[in-house]
Amino acid sequence: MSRYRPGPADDRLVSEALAALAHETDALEAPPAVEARLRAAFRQANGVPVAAPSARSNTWKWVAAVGAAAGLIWVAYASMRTQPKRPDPREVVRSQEPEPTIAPRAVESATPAPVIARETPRVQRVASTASRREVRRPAPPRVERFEPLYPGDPLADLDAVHLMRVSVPRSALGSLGWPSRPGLRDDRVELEAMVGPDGMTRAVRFISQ
Amino acid sequence: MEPTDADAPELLRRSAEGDEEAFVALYRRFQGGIYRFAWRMTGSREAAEDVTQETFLVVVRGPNRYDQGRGAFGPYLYGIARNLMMKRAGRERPFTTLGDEQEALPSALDPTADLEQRQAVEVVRRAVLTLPEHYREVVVLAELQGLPYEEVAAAIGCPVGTVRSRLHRARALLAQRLRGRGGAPQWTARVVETA
Repeated sequence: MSRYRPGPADDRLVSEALAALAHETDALEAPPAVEARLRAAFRQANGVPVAAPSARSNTWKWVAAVGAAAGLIWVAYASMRTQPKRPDPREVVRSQEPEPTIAPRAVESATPAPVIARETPRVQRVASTASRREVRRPAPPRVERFEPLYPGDPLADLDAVHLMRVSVPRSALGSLGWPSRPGLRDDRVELEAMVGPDGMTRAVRFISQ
Repeated sequence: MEPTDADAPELLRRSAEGDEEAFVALYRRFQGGIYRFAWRMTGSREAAEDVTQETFLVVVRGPNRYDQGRGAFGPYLYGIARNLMMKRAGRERPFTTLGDEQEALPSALDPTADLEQRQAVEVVRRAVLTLPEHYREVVVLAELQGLPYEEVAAAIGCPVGTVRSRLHRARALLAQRLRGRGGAPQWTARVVETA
């Protein structure tokens, strides 16, 4: 079998053929997805989770953050001006009890729920797992509103509360932070206690005085 | 300003320090050549994409492996790509096998190109793909990629004389295949007229 030996015509043929092929495929490039994957690999190799944002995008983030903060401040200020101020429960009590003899105690140290349970064998369960909306429903006109025993919203972070109607000696009001009259020590007061799932009384309202 | 081959060492040094933009500039400078090399060697876009990605992953993982004293960065990358293709060829079917599943030229390359010319170029491409690998790589690097013989030699790790002899033999094989069994050229009548 003889070996093929190309002549000058063959050499020109091959040169032209290869030039045509090179010309036809010279525009080929790797798809953009390859660069994206390599960028991710580069960041991972260099311990950079995300690409550093540009100065332009940083500026816009600052502008957006300042705008959002200003909007929140304005909304908070407007709501404070439109909502009526909630009276302090101790102020309410003071107005109803014109001659306090005992100063209100710090409510943080009080343990009202066990006291109520111990001293009231006639505890009547009024409602269980009342929803927040139901508790916030306006009370009937003859009943006072709930007064918190702790600063702040008594329903904060509570999904459910228990309402317990109890009858306690008027003298026990002192342990709840309300003044009591020495002369009415044997009288009993009927009230509703809002008890959280942890057994702590969060707020009370008086049914009768 | 587009980076040149001379900028490669500096871009590589910055990449090693974690400069992502330097790495991307380096990638954009060399990705086209590596992708075309892989595509012309394998005839597969998927394989070309994988080889390109793996080649630059080697750079990401070991940017300090490149020794400027041993040659330019381009041949270094071609050498990595060549080794990756040889590994793939070892665990997959040989790239030289041509069949109906072989990919044709990408249709998006030049939509205005004459259909007959494209068919003629396809004949040449298939002829190149049927060359033995050691012939094919010198044809692709020297004739299609346009690398100097010295860089081809650096990429495939052989003397320049070997590159010349392989290229001579490869061209003879191509001429034989393009002419068929001594008949008229299968494509020159069309391509030469339109060139």
